[in-house]
Amino acid sequence: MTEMSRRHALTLFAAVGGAAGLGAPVRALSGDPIYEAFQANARNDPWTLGVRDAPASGFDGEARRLHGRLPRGLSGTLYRNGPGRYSRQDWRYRHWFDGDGFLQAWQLDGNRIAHRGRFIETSKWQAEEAAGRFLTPAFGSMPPDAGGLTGPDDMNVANTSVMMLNGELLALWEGGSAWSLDADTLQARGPRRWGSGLDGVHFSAHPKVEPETDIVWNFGQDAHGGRLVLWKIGPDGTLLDAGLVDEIGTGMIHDFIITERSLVFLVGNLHHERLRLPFLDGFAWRGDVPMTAIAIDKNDWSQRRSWDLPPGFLFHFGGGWEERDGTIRLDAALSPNADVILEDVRDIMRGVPWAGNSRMQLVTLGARGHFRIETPGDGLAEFPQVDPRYTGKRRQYTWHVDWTPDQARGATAIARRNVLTGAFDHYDHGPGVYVEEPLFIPASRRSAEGEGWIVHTALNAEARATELHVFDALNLSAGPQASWRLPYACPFGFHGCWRG
Amino acid sequence: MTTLTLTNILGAAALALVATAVAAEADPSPNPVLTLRVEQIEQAQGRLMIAVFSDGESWSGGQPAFTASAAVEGSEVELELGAVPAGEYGVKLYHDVDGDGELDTNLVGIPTEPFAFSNSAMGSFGPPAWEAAAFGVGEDNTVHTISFR
Ligand SMILES: [Fe+2]
Repeated sequence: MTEMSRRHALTLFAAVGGAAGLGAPVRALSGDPIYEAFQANARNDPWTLGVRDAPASGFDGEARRLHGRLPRGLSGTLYRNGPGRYSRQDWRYRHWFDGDGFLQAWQLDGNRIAHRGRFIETSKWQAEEAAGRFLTPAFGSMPPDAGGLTGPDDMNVANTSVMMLNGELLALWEGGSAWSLDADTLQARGPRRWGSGLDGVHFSAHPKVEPETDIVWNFGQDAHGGRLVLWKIGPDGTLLDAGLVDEIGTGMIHDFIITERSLVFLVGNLHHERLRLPFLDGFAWRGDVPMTAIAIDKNDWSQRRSWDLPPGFLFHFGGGWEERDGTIRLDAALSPNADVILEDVRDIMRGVPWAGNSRMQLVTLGARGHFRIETPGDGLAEFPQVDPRYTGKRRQYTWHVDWTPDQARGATAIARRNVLTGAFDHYDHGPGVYVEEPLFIPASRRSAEGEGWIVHTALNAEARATELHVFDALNLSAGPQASWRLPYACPFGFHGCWRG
Repeated sequence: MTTLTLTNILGAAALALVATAVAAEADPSPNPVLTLRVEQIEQAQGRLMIAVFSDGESWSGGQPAFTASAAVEGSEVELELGAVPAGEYGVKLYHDVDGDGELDTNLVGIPTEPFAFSNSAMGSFGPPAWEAAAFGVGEDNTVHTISFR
């Protein structure tokens, strides 16, 4: 492992070093304008049900079948994670990503769907529940009288994604540890420990599982240091390797892809510029430099190739693969700017819906350093997913949520695009049904690519309730095979996983 | 695994960690006795490693006025640091849980052993400002309490 320099140690500690000296805003005597704006908008716009505080005790309920039947073979639990608590003491976070992780478990069993929602009992959640107020700085907000930090896990909200690892459920964030949960009771066990010297090290929310080996690859980003942590974990949950890769640049990285040979990153143009709190405020758009693509050799992390691309920003990839000559093909939901993270998700906290501007683009990183970027459709897209058995391999399909720029409240449709032929399959639930990440579940281990189901949740604003829809993954346009509705509305989540 | 010393992380230079308080020399002058009380220690093992500073300049990267350490056998430690001249003091300390004499850090350099500062102040991009951590010692004996969060 790389030897730490004193400078790195100081700056790293600095990055997480606490807030006391920064002059947290003094608690206002009058009301919080963001909190009040949200309350006002929430009275008129049922879309805001998706960004309201979940009850501290969570949810326990059963979904009512609207139509159809659960397909034979589709039995298991859909876990979904996302922010669920935004306000305490009538003060509301400024940024959607700040909310405390709220885990939902949808248990599909025969023809019943039981639902549970639980806050992830992070250190932060427990301390703030006990105190009755926010205590720590958040990614994009400084609550009144926020205290300091001894390390990033003090502010870890574990709110971004969730994965199964050898029977263990991990709630994922990206600024610190994965949070270990009991997959049945949803009770937190604490930050996941991987071994000596790795406590609290950045562990991002989009690990990738190699289909042949079930080896888990992940990264963590130290944006201030311009470095990545790379993680390689065995299917039994033991650490195979972890280490630092320097000189990555300071652009924010949320997701990556693996190919059979490489770990591939797009380093976008939202750059870490300075250390400050809230942490997001230290980032700024740098349109004067390229977005870079970096492919790191899986077997020798000191070996890399890189490409300079036009400026851009992204959260998520669909997937990618590498051809024999080293050409890498990938698809990603790319934006021309970082308005989503800098502006839109702040608006959400006032109860103002987000527009978004990301489109699925096909990026070819040529073996000789050239590149090509194609935009196959007109629509906006986010939350791309692939058949997990094709992670890192040449494949056909990406599923994603789909909308048009005039849809101010975001996606009401799900779509499937064939990245090889451009063929497009699409289903729109219609106005007022705001769809979340479509997760692909294979029909069986041996079924062909795409043979299986798409399961996704959605907020039905008119019904003021969250729904679950099941589709034939290769025939979205036929509409849902079956749909269920909870007796209540849940907060919007980010990402989920399936436990069969 | 890489480890860093208190010096590196907490900003004091060339900190020689010693097993007992060094300021507790017999002193005929009526200097007040400074006692440190450390609370909410999570693990009853290892040692507390303590650096005491007497001005803002040394606090920000200079030499401590003196250092001390104490074995941890419970959730609290009370340590008489000895007679000190009246004035302002600031304390940086960490709990050397594994007793290796260093503040352990993780792969990216973040401390993995508990640390704290006088007034239980917490830092912004490093240790807290001297103004936040400094406490006064007057003519009377003083007990200063620091709590791990
Ligand atoms: Fe994500």
